[in-house]
Amino acid sequence: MPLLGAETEYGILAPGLPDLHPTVLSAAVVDGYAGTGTRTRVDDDGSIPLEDAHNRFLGNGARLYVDHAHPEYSTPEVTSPRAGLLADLAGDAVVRAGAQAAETQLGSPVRLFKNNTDGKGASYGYHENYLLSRATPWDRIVAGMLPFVVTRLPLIGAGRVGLGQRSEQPGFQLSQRADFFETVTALETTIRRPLLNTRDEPHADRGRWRRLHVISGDANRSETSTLLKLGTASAVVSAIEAGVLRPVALADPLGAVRTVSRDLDCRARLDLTDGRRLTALDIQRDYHAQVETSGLGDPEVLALWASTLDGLDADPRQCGELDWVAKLDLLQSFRRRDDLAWDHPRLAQLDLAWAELSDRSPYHALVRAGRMPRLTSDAEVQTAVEQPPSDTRAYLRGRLVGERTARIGAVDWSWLTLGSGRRRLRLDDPFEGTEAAVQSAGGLDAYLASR
Amino acid sequence: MAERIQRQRSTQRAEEPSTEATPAVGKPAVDYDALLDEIDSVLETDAEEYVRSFVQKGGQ
Repeated sequence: MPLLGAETEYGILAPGLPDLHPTVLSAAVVDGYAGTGTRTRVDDDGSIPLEDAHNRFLGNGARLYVDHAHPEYSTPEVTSPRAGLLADLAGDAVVRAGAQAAETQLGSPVRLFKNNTDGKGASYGYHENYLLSRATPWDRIVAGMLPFVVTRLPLIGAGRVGLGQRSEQPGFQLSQRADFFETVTALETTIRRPLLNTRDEPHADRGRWRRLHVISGDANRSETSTLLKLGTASAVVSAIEAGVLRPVALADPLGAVRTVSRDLDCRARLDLTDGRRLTALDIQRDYHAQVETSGLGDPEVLALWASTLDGLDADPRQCGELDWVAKLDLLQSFRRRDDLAWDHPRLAQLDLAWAELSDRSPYHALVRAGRMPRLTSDAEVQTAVEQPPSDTRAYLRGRLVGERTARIGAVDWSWLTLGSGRRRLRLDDPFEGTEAAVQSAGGLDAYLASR
Repeated sequence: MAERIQRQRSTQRAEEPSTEATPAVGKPAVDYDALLDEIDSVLETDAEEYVRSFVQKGGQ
């Protein structure tokens, strides 16, 4: 399984403070988070602090920062899809706590949204990161990932009211992001968005690893959708890396992503370059079968992947544990009850409120009513908020940030500086600095002395 | 005004036995109409303003 992590860009709004710049608002959220983490500090020698208050590393190994006028949370590096799910949910809890502090400071409500579009033309990302061996050729990654990211929308779509980047046409589609892709591969993430992003910053020894930066996925509320998103992609990345995947090739990937996103019955057939026409679910089944045959992937995820594909094949409406299905069911219920057309503002309101990190979100109402299953406990999420993962360098980073805060000069993913002498500790191998390594060295200080 | 009329009607409907097809999703742990009313009751009353006010600057 590849090392993985995810970044969530949260939409933000202070409805009572329309003149407050969103960057200032986002900074109040980042600064307001009271958990352990780096802070702005004036160094002993009066030099300019290396750490910025709006760019914090936290005691759980994550990074919380202001990016493009919104708060962003990057999970620590983890080694399993379930740990990825917990780290993702920990991010929601952290920014929510930051927003509550910002509300107190500003004296006005602060809303955060875990979605990917404001419905008015702006899109912001949920980025998955997978670490692969440098030996894996980029062409093989593109061939393996492209049909996968297009056909996974029935599993991971968050659901969206509105068709077109500015919701020009009324209606509903599976994905928040589908209408924002304009090219197949490219380096950019904000203009001419590609289905596959070529950014390769492994934050590790470049000679050994490369990074796959997947920007095409939705930010999910459903824990099932998040686990499937991270777990199925991890399995496919493993198969690509191992050279065992024989992927199909889509004739028109960009057209297909729009087709799949608008296909509420999951029955549309997509043209392949070999002349065959398969549904998104057919292609996902092919990926699943190849990964399973190869003995790769997380067993929990493989079972969930298969049962979810069975459910979607039988009747998508039965899959209420998935974001888009549950959201659509709710919207259709309101449409029937109150005779609402798809362009009625209350449906757009429900869509937006679904993403709001607030107990009043319809998502939470479904959880409370027992209609939306959770896969984690509050206690597990709280642990992921407070403690770093044990089996990557995020363990060392988190413990140093949390317990030796005053000694930290600067932090980045693959290094940090310690003490007034600015000793630089390199962490180019993301699998070092683990709990086991620190313990076998005799504790944190002994480990640092040994490096 | 249209909002208010719709909400009155939905309150009346909630007291009658549901004539809707049983929603396919999940387990009916609570009465579905009551759940819709609960969701309705905590949303901002001005749907248009809630949606209009959210404009995200920047993003990847």
